[in-house]
Amino acid sequence: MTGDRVNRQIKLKWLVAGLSAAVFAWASVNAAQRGSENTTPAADAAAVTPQLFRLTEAQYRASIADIFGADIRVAGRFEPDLRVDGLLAVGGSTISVTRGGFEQYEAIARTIADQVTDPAHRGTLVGCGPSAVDPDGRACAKTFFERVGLRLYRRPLGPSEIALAMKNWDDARQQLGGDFYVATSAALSGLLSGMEFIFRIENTTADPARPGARTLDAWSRASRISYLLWNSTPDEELLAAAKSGALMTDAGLAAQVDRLMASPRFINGARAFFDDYLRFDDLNTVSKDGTIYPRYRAAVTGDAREQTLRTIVDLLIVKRGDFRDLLTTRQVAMNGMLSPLYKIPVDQKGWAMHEFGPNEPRAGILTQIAFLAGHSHPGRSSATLRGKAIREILMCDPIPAPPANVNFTVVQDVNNPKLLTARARVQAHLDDEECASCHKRMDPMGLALENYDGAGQYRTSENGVPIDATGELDGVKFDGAVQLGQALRNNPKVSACLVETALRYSFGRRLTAMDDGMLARLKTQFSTDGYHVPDLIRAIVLSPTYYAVTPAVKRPRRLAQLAAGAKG
Amino acid sequence: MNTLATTVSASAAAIALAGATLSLQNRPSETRSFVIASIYMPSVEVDSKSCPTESKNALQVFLDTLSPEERVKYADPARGRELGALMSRTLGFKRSVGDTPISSDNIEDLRRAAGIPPGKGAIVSYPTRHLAYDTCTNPDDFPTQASGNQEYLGKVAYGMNLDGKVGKRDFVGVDGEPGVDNAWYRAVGCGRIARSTGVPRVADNVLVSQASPTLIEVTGIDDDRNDSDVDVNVYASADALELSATGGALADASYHPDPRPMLTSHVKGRITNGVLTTDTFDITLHFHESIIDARPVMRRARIRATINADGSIEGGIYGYHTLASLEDEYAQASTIGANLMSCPGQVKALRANADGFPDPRTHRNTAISSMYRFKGVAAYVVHKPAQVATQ
Repeated sequence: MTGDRVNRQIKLKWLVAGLSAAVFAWASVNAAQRGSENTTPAADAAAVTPQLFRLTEAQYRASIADIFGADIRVAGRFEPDLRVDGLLAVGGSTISVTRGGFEQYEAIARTIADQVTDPAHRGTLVGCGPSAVDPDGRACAKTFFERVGLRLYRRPLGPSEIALAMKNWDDARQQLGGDFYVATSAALSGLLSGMEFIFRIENTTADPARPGARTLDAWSRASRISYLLWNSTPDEELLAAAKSGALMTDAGLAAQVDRLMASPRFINGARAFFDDYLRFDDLNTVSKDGTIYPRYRAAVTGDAREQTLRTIVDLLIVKRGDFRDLLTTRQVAMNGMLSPLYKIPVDQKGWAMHEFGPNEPRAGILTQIAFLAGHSHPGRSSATLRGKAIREILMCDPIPAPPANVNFTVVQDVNNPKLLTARARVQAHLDDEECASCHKRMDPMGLALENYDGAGQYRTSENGVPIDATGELDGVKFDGAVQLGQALRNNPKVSACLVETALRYSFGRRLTAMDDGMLARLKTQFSTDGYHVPDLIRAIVLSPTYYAVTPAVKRPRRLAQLAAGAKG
Repeated sequence: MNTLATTVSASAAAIALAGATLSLQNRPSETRSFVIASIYMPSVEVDSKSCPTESKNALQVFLDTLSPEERVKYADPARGRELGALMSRTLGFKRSVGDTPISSDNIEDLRRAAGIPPGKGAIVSYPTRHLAYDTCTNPDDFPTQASGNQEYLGKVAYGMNLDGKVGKRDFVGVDGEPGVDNAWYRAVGCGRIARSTGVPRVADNVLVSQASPTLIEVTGIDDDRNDSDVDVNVYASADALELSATGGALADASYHPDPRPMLTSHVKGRITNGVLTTDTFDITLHFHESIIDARPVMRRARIRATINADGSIEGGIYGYHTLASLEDEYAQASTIGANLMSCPGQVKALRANADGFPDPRTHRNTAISSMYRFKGVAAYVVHKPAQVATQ
């Protein structure tokens, strides 16, 4: 690299960083101001909700792919998402961006902008350049920022935002030698680093159906339903529906919701929900001792996650099955990476549906590797972790953290010659009354899964002793995982929990007492309509309540914090 | 619905599981399948009586042909590369260059271009498929190199009494069986490979033919300890060996047989006290590694192997290894063989010790009594496609 080129690269880096930080700070304050402007009576200003949701990594990547194409590489590390109230989706509305995280976003934005404007992509993605009638390409740049800004911010850029983008473009062009594409890349990088892209920001408007009340505006509705149903940014048709005002009507909203749900991309949205619901991001930290579980190879964890998601999509979306059957289904997606753990043959290395026989000990997602291995230790199973997961995830029944001074020695010693099975070890642990109060809620269900070791492989004995997998849940006795799955399937708490989780996920926030009415209606509808998840989601997104502005939140203060963070 | 139930041979582990908890549908008898992770000519631990010297490798044999001054100059092992180059120049080794696929149409052109005599040379170094001419591809052309092989002089060897006789040159088996026929081991048992990596305590843990491991499928099992009538199929796998988390052979993985008929064998057998023994059959194995694609052929072969409770298998394939396929295997080792053996010397020993299948015209034996020891783990042999994923 020549000296000039090095200097130019350094200058570009600092220029873009400066632009991005300025845009970030500006966008934060701008959004805060617009949020305040949207609140009708001044006295209600602090009580109006519009929320901020930081895009998850998956949403960020999907958005870039949808806007610029799947061949645009998103390279860089994202700040970790935060699970709140059991969901990353809820955490997304409470999480901020650190200064280090912002620098990461800025670096990612720069690589994206460079690709968009490189010779291989500029013709398609920028679409214009300097010409006889537009010698410096300024008009082209403005058109580009207006077009791409709509997709990035999921609403039209305001005059001040266009002006800022053009100022950035002018500055970059002046400082970087007048190259059109370098300047366009720098200004695009600023847009991509903007808070209005990294965060989904909801704004409100007067509710035409409820005089005096407020509701989400059409652009915010478009983003909300797109990220819920597709886990990605609104497409042009949805944005057009927002622009036309169709999304503010029941019919227009329903038409778009049905279109999105009929698209194959609805599977992406469903996968994102169930990935969050089942807390599969926790699988990222799962590792197993290869000497104990030689069949558990490095790629197993990722494939196990994929297996359960594919199984869910096949049952609930493709076949429109009963949600409760997830706990009993014998149909499972299978590939050659996982089949040795299940000790079954597969014809292909890729994915195919497999059905376990009626006498085989696999039925429902609780008997799949993702759940069993994910809620185990590296070298042993864990009745407690599995039982806790069932309570918290499937039954919305949180278990308090154990006391800090709890002694796990008895449970962890799998070589204790007197306590040969997990049941025996757990029972010894339960002699401590303080522990027993929680363990009695978790362990009976977890012990029903003891026929599967820490890698999820079936076994009939532990240390030569036959495994006792009997238990009871709300008066229903079971023996083993298959019967436990049946008991859970028929337990109304499980389907009710799914509805509650789906609503929290859809809102991206904790539920409050004000949501009780909607929640009750949805639970009833879910059961009477046959426990179809797509119908549940549709009912949520077509409910006016879903867009109604609720009291709470101190958005201006949070925005101010974000802006301050960006300034560093 | 079990889409593979009638088309897949289940592993021993799965069958054990089934015995405890499952009922296999429409399957009156059981099938056990194995993927062979390790297969090799086994060597006993040799001593100075059984192997007074170690067989010389190609460089050592060539060094012996040099002048005393040159022998001193190249005696240092660090000068092995120089010695190899000198050997190549002196003996006129040739090798085709380029990536042109070799076919019957262009092979003479390639020979001519590489300076290889007409009709000579052999395809080596799969998958690049070079055409090579050297002491391993054409041992008969280099008689000065056909020395330095030390035959095994011991009394004990792995193997089986193949001809039912107890002859003077027969061995005693490692388990005491008299009349063991294993002339292959007698011929090459003092080579570097046999002496070092050929002993089971080492070789059992070395993965062999990872690109196309051998599959053994035993069907029609009514009693897994004693069954007088089972069917045994041996396949080359179309799939590479699956590895476990610790780098060994993965148990319970699925494999498709190579569809080529020559790589499929069927034979009747029986299980006695957990030991599988087959009738005799002819078999073509497939040893496929990164640069080797050999097809060892054994005539009047039989399998004797123990099926273990954990679903694994270990034992041997015993029979008469054809000299032609052995020499072809040596030829393919030309790129790596110089430091391990002297092909002309070993080929000479093989021919001298060949003890089976005399050529009706020349009356020379065309095969040599042999044994491959193997170890394998439970596997599934999949014969037909399953339901395709909907997503």
